[in-house]
Order: sequence, then structure tokens, then C-alpha cells
Amino acid sequence: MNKLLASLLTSITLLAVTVPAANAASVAQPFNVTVTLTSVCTMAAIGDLAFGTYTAFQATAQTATSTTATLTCTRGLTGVTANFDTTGTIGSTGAAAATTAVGAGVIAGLQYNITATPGTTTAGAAASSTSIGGADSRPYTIAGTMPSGQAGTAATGVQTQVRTLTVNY
Amino acid sequence: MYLPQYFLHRINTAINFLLAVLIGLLSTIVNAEQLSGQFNVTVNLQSSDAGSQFVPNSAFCRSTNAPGSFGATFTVVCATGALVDISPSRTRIIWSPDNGDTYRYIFQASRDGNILGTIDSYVSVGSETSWRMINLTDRNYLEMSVNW
Repeated sequence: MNKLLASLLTSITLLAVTVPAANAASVAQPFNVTVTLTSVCTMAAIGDLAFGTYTAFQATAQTATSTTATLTCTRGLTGVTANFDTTGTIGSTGAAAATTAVGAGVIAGLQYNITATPGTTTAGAAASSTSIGGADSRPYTIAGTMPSGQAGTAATGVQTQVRTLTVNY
Repeated sequence: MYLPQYFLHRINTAINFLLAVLIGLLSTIVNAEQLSGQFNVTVNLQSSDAGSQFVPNSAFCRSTNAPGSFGATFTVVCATGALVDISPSRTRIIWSPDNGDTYRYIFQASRDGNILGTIDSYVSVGSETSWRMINLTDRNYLEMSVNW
């Protein structure tokens, strides 16, 4: 009798313990993660576009040692255009913003033409749950030529003129 | 809805649509970002001495002129490899044709410090003259062309 009573008591206890577990429930509710991304590009300092020494009336055109403008941008930008300044120096011209910027100018009385051509974009690594990812690298090669046969305007030493490359995105 | 009210409603809807499109376009333009970077364009112009009435000196050549037996002697001495231009229109020097309205060019060729001889040429007004130094393994010589 005692055995039967003990067994019954044990069963009741187990039932009391297990029943609440069987009754546990969960509830879920989705929520949105939102953000507004403002795309940004930064540009590293640009080296000189050096035409070297031009001898007046020289028979061949002078090609400048090209320089590079490197942009670090938000990944995946499209429709990026560029243009040169038109108001910085007398004689400076720049075509409307386009994929390749085209311009011209005059330095030391010598006319020159310049272009800024976009190179291959190096895509930045995508962000993941464990990484913030990287930025796209967009190089622009700035090249210049001076036509031959120019007289120039007398000047002493290396002449310097500041030009501006603007990138639109 | 009365007919006039219907048309007014349609017109109002069309105006609202156009305004929305216009605002959308404007917002696109306003949102375009720009970024500018400056760079230097540099050049070293090797040119004439603006204050001189003579043909200018350069890193390659020295030039002088002085009265000579035919009115003027013009001398250009250049380093090896120099390109020399002594045409009257560019040198700004006044060359008066003499000796029967001709210019007289005298070339003195030398090699290893030894004078090989001179070459005289009389060139009429309006002619085109050019010459070049031919460098061979065993000798150098000057070739001159005159066109008129």
C-alpha cells in the first residue's frame, strides 16, 4: 500500500514538473531596420601635370607626364561625370561634365589640352555581419599635350598654374 | 459629379502630377554631389630673351651678328644635337640682302677640332633654305637644299 502511494506521489510530482514545460510558448514580431545612405567620395591630393621643358617653336608636340586623381567612393556609384574648371585662369576652358573630362588652357603663352579619363574601378569588399567592407577606388588619369610650333610668352623658370578637376556623382 | 467639376478634377490631377514630376527632378539635381581637387600644370619655357634685339641665346646655341664683308655676318654656335632656326622671320634680326639681293650663308664644318672647310651659298630673297649634318661612320658632311 505504501509502495503504491509512493509511486502515485512520484507520478503526480513528475506531472506537475513536466506540464508547465509543455505549455511554454513563443511570440515573434518582425521589425524594420532603416537607414538613408548619403553617398560620398573623397579625393586624394593630385600630383603636378608636368610638361617639362618646351623649347619655343619646337617641331614636335609636348606630352606631359600624366598624373592621377584617385577617388575613394561609396560602393556602386553610377553615372559619375567629371569636368575641368573654366574660370580659374584666363584661357582655361572645360567641356561640360562627361565621363571623360576635356579641357584646355594657356600657360607661359603656350596652349595646352588636357583630359581626365576614368580608369578601372576597383570594387570595395562588401560589408558582412562581421566586416564593414571597403570603398570603391576610382582613378582618373589626367593627361596633357602642347601643340608644336608655339612661340610662348617669355618667362623665367618653371611656370605653375592651378587647375581644378570636379567629379560629379 | 457635374461635368464641369469632372473636368476641373482631371485638370487638377494633371497639374499635381506635373508638379510631382518637377519636384522629383529638382530633388535629383539638388542631391547631385560634387567633389573637386586641384592640381598644378607646370612648364619650363625655353624661349627668347625678350629684351634683346638679337637672336636669343639658349641652352643649346649662342648667336651673334656683326658687320661682315657683305653687310652682315650672323654666327650661330650650337651644342651637338641642337635644332637651329635662323630664318629671318623668326629671329627678329634684320637681315638686309646684299651682294645682288642675296643672303650669303657660310658654313664652317669641323671635326675633332679640325676645320674641314667652308661652304658658301648665296640665297635669293623668297627662297627656302635648309640643311642637315650627315653623320657617317668615317666622315660628317653638310647637306644643303635651296628652293625658290
